Amino acid sequence: MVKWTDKERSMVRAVWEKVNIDEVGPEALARVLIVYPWTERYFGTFGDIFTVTAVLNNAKVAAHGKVVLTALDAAVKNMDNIPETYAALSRLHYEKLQLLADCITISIACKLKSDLDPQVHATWHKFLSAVVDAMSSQYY
Amino acid sequence: MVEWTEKERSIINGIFANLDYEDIGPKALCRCLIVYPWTQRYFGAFGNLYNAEAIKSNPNIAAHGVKVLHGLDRAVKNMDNIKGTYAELSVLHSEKLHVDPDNFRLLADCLTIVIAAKLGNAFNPEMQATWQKFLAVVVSALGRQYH
Repeated sequence: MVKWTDKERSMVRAVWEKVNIDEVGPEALARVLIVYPWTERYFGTFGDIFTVTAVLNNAKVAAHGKVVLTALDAAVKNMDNIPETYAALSRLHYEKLQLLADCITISIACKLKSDLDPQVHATWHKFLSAVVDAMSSQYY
Repeated sequence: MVEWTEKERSIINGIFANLDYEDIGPKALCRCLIVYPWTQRYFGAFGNLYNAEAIKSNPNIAAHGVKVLHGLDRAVKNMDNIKGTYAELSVLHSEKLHVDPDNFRLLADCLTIVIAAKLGNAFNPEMQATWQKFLAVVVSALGRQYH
């Protein structure tokens, strides 16, 4: 099980408090689709996601981005039990989510700028690694 | 060979034209040593790296960060032959410095985060895509002489 110091817990919460889910969610998912275009394969029912403009204006992408970040809230509130928190979602997804985690961090870096200092970044990275692991946990 | 559109070239040149090497270089390297602590093993001769504060105030690390960023200049000026440009540096990192090539990607990731924090919303998805493509080519070129 992942161990968290009190300092790490408060760093994760401090980052999360500054995140506007309605803004970062859509942006992070848009980044994934634009920077790693092969990920379009997962969104066959979302309509036009084949150009930068289409992705940025796609309502379903925006909506799903919000869903994703809202789900991240569960991990922030259950840092000692991330694997169980995501067991059901892991069975639903069946794909690795490292690229999405990277884009979430980049979006947060754009918003928080120097507030995402190296120590905070390190702790946030540790947190997202635990989330990505938990989301991959039901594959085998 | 990697192909670059005019737009991609101007995005990369634009980012570097406005870059403060003395600021971004040190920040990226420090971040790498803090977020991925095993990378500290390559800097045994650099003095005190015992905690984040020590790393952030270490002048040897800062100087090396600037050096690394200026090394990227060469790729920007030779975008059509990044592989050839880094052949010697690749040999150096492999045969003399013995750096695990996986770590090049980690430093590249940290540089991306520092650039994102600097540019804020201007670092939009399209810019990110071009920037990451550029760094991926650099990372690949640096790993090329390892095998």
